[in-house]
Amino acid sequence: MVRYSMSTVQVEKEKSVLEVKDLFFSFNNKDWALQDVNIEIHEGEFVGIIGPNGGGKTTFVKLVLGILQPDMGTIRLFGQPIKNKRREIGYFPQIKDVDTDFPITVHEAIIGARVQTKIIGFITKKDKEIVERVMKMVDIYSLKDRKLNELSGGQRNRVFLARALATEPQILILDEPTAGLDVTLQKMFLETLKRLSKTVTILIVDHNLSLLEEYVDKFLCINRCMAHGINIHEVHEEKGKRVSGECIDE
Amino acid sequence: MSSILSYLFFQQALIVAIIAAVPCAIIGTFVVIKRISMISGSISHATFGGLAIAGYLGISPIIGGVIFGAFSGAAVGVIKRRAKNRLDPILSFIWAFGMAIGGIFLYLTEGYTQDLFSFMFGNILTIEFWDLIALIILTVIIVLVAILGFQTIQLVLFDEEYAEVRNIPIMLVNVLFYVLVALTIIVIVSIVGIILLIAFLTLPAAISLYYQKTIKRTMIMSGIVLAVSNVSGLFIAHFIQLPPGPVIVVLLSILYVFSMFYDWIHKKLRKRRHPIEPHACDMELESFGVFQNLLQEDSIRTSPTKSVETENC
Repeated sequence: MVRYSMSTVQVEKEKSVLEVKDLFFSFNNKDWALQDVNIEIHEGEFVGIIGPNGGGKTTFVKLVLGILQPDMGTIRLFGQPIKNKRREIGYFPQIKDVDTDFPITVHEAIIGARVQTKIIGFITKKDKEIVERVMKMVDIYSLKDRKLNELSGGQRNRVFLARALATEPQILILDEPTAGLDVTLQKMFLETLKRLSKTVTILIVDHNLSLLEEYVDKFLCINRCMAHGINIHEVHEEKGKRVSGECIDE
Repeated sequence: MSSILSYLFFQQALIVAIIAAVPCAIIGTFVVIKRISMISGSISHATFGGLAIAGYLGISPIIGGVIFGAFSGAAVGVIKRRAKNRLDPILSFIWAFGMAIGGIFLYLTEGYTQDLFSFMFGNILTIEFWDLIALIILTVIIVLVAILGFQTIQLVLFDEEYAEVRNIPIMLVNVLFYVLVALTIIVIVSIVGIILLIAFLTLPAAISLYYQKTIKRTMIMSGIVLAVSNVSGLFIAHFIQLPPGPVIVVLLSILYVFSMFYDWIHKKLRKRRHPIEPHACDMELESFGVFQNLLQEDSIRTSPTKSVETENC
């Protein structure tokens, strides 16, 4: 069984943002989709989550978001159970899972991030100001009245980034946000995230290891039975060999 | 025309025809964009059971319908969340069970053959005064809840997973939404009956979506389309001596087919008039600007690599 904690090798004690202990999860009660995962992520870290298809990256993200419930183990966000703190998360879902044909404008999609937890809630003036600011920040203000399905892939990605930022998050979790973008746009997107990582902790799921390594502080490799960190040097040195099973297969 | 307008039953029918358009437009738009006609069909057929039981007991069909409809709507809301993969057979069960209960109680009710036609195809001209008042109250409730909860309902229907991460009470919103669907169905049943009500719920929104971009505008246009169709259908049905419910649905169907062709022709013409620009493929490059603007604001931090260990499974 893997017992690994990133926190054990931190030189200085940093504030823990996400703490995963002895996590086990199964979809069918027969095989573990994830087993014995122990992770700690600290404030201000920019972490790339990598691993093969079907390795459990998205499952891990959904467990961290509280959408799936672990069979065993605990996940704590800012030292508290997820449900208490998950409004601090800015979530960028896999775009293929979102119904982009839904007749909603860019502005309506982003303002959804400001909806209160009550059934009957109102959007305040402050909410509108935040949404406007975020739209200007990612340069989609001119698209605010356009429908989602009228946008290009890159524009759509910026809409979902804006929605994630509109929650004023302390942690950003992005599930394959660069999917469908060309390499230049992917780099631009990651550079933006890099800049944002000064003020917010970031977890990004992506397949493109070569691209990610230029930007992230560290990697978290998830491959069913294993979930552990790899530092950037190891990625460089071990590329082409085996660092963590199938995590690096170039 | 003035002679028919002087009859109280026709005046009441006109009022119902117009007010019913409002909840239909709001809820119907959500039903169409979420492609949940099957769920709505299931709730409507379950409601049939309540209407028939109310008829058997001699109470207002609206009361029976509201109780049965609200219960089945709430059940669908819970089941949809809990049994995602088994939803289809469960919906079929609710659909068939409601119809079976309805069939049994309708058979047990005296003079059921006459009622059967009203249940199946509706009869807006026979609505009584207190039923009219009940329908108005029901409409006000649906519209108020839908307007006040619009942002939340829209978020849950658009991206349920994201709404869950935002701590929105998904189950409660789903239950509330399907109860609203059920209550809307009660309002419609009196006009077009069980069999045709799905057309009422879906066609106005489907027509409007050919012309409108946003949900709110689609709702407004659906309301206008339905109100106009209802009123026109009532008059046409009166003059050609046919039941109004089916006539209204035929009108809506004609509008739908027209809109489909209009959209098709409009797209063809637009392509001819505005051929694709040779450099349109460069559009994506506009994205460069934004990222560069963000980057220029200050330099990118280059964090020192954090050393971590690796261990295999």
